[in-house]
Amino acid sequence: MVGTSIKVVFSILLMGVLSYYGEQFFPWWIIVVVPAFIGALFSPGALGSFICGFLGVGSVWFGMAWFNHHQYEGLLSGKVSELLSLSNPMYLILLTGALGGLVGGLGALSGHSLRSFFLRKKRRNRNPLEGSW
Amino acid sequence: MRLLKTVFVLLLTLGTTFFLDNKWEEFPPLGPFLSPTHGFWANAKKEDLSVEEVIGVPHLRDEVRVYWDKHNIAHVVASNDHDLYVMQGYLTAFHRLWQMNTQVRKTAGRLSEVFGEDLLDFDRLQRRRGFAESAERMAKHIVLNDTVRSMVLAYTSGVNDYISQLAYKDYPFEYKLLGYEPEPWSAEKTCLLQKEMSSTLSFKSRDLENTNFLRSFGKDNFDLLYPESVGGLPDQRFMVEDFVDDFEAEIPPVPIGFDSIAFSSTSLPRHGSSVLDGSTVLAISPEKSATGNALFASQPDLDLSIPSLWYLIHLQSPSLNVMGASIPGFPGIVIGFNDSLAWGTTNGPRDNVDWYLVQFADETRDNYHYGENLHKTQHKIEEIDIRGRRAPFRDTLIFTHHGPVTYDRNFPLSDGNPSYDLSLRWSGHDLSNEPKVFYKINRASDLDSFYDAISGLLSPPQNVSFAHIGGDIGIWAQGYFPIKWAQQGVFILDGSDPSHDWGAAVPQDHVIYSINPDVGYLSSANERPVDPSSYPYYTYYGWYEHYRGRRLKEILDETEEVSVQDIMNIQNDNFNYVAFEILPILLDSLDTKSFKNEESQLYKRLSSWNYFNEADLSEPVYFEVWYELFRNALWDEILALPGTTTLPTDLTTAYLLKNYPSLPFWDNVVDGGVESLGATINRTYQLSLGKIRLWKKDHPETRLSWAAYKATSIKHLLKLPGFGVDNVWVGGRDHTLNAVTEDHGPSLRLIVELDKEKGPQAWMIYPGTQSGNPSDPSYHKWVKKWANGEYLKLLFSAQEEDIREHAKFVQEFFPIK
Repeated sequence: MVGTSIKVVFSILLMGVLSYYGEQFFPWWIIVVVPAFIGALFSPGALGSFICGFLGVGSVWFGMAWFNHHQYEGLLSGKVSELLSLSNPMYLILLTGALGGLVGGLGALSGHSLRSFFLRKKRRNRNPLEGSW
Repeated sequence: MRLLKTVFVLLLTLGTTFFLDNKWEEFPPLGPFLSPTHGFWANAKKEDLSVEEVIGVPHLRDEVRVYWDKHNIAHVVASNDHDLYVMQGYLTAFHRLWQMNTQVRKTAGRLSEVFGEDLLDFDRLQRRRGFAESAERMAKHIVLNDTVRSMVLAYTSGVNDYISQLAYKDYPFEYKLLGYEPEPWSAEKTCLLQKEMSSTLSFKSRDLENTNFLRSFGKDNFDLLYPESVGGLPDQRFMVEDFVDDFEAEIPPVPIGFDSIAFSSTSLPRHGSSVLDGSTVLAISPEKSATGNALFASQPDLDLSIPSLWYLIHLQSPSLNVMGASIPGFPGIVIGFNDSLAWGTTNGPRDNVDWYLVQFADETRDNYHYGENLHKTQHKIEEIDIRGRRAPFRDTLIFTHHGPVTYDRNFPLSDGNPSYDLSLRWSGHDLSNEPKVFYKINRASDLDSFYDAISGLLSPPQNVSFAHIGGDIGIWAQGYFPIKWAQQGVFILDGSDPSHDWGAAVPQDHVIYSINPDVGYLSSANERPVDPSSYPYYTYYGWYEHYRGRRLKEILDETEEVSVQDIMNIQNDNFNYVAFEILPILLDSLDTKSFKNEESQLYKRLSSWNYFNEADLSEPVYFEVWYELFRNALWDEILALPGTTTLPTDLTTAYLLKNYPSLPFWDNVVDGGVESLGATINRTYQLSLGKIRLWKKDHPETRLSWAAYKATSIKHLLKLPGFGVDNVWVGGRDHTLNAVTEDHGPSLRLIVELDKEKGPQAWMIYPGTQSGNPSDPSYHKWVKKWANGEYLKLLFSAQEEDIREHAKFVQEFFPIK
């Protein structure tokens, strides 16, 4: 249990930090690749991987968008919200976070799936965070 | 099973990523667009300028210093002209990259590549008008001149140096929103932009409208309702009043039957804009100036949009010191001033567009009838790429000796049969070298070198005016004008009749001009350039202005010594000459006896209104609404015609109302009965009151005023909601000197005092700002100042130290490999 929690926290942090730095040098889809690698290396199970990817990348995207919105007084985020028919820029920030989270989560889940496909024989103990997979 | 799951998860992940990486319907590609590092968030800015201080630019030859002043205007100081144009391209791209690329896409007919099938018909029309074809020819022509080649190529490489160092995250916002990439600039794109300017200003024709009217009402009625000069009213105050021709001109005879081209019952539909693009310039000689310094002012009236058409820049090298308004994509300054003189233009085309009815010999369309013989056509296949479609759309463009066949069976003008084959003749398609003209204007130092520079300007025809620091002022109605027989091209022409072809151009020596007139000033506001009786060539144009020029001259005649403040007042003057002429006629016919209290009060207010369309007045609303309803009721016969038509001008309308009490057109058929002119005036008055009551009901929070009713809005080029400025509080209308309509008006106001001691002093404003980035806090900062009639004082000097002293930020650019 304790081992899993550490794994989860460690994964979230690593996915967030590495996705953030990865995006400085690679296109936006690096947020699929980074969680996939980490998901493959430290898989806390299928659902666990997805949640880690979602929280890791999602919180970075949400946080950056939120910070950006406030730093630049919503000059552009306000206009873009209007353009996308969102009544409040907060929804745009949430959408940004959710989208990053979704993609990051799927990336991590893919990493986990690949890992478990190739390493399935080595896996013995099912952990409680693993979903119905 | 596990394999299946893994494959499913991988496909889901890849599919989602792919989906988000691409544009679907009207949504941007959400993945890259929403990424806080790469997407639109990365375009957010706090400071006006958040740029590095030292930057390498591959195509520079030497170090260049750029001083940014508090208005965000760049003052470029280079050791050679090549670097000056590299930097102009670089900085323009820095602020306006998306705008300049989009404008040339529009001209070239390449919008479908970005916007998809919706714009295919527009693209086809642009290609069928031949813009891309003539820009291509022009690009090959202008680079034959060494000076122009090095200028255009330097500018081009500056733009491309800027583009090449951009990553996705640096792209202008609009590229991210629409999901495409900036394209490299080229000499051909500069030529496309020149065609865009030319077509905006001179691609205007009423041939179809006139032909429609002619067919239904006959030539006598046409000449009565659309006269070339209107008698009986105060004269139109020609741009040049004292013109004396001292040359022989050969005018071709009028061919018999030119006004009876056979058109069947099919009506011709509207095929282009008929917006009036006006402008005002004035030049004051030292004798008439309050300070004894020559004064100059220029105010081009155009469609208002954000980003603004104009980009201000100051270019300085050992051989050049020039400042003013440039057009993104075009090297040099278009309207501005240097150490010696200030210049500007108003639009001055005559009938520069004509349509020829073509008779092809057979279905292959390889030949057409011309004179006694058959002439060969040329075929060109246009390929239009469309976003979301694999194969390009192919369109066959056929050329006659007149020009491209814009309308034919594949692109019919009307739905009816037969579909007319109409070939276009437009002066803007002829070879010219406008980049060279502006290169030379920027360097002109006296009257002779200025005239030498402008005499090369062919398209668009412009009334070019200047004032020199030594006191000379001058104006020329410059451009390429074909010699025509009277009324040639007023109606659709016969493409098979050689006598309908355009003649040679009016010789440059026969240009209409004025230099240093006795009155001490020169002005132009798109009025007829000269009294037709004192100039042998045919000067017809459907859009001559009849009001702004008169008002301008009246003010200048009354003002003994003109100051800069006087010119500011002139540029913001809202006197409504149309109301001055028409309203008394309308009020005289009102049946006031039956008026209730409220109506009487309004009648009194309208009777004592001073005809100024000021922003906060409500009288202009009552007049404008009434007049529009009345005009449409008056000319209902014309509006009822199927197909496109144009109404007689306000000037002609007022003249006919005064002088023709019983014209058949005056009678209206309403509810089966015939209504007299007086009854129409009274009925439309009541209608207008109802319309305004409705407006008040819809705007319960707003006090009725001209500005609120007019609701001028300056929209983003893509008309994105929230990206422009709506409900700008500003007075004026078309035909007032402050010619602001709901979306059109003074796109720039420039005033220069050519101070003999301190050098040129300049004031300027335009509705927008330098930055084209919608997240820039200054994005539309100047709109309010512009609406209020305020100006920015420009920083200008021949000394780099003066510029340095007032700069808020300095950048150094240096060559890199």
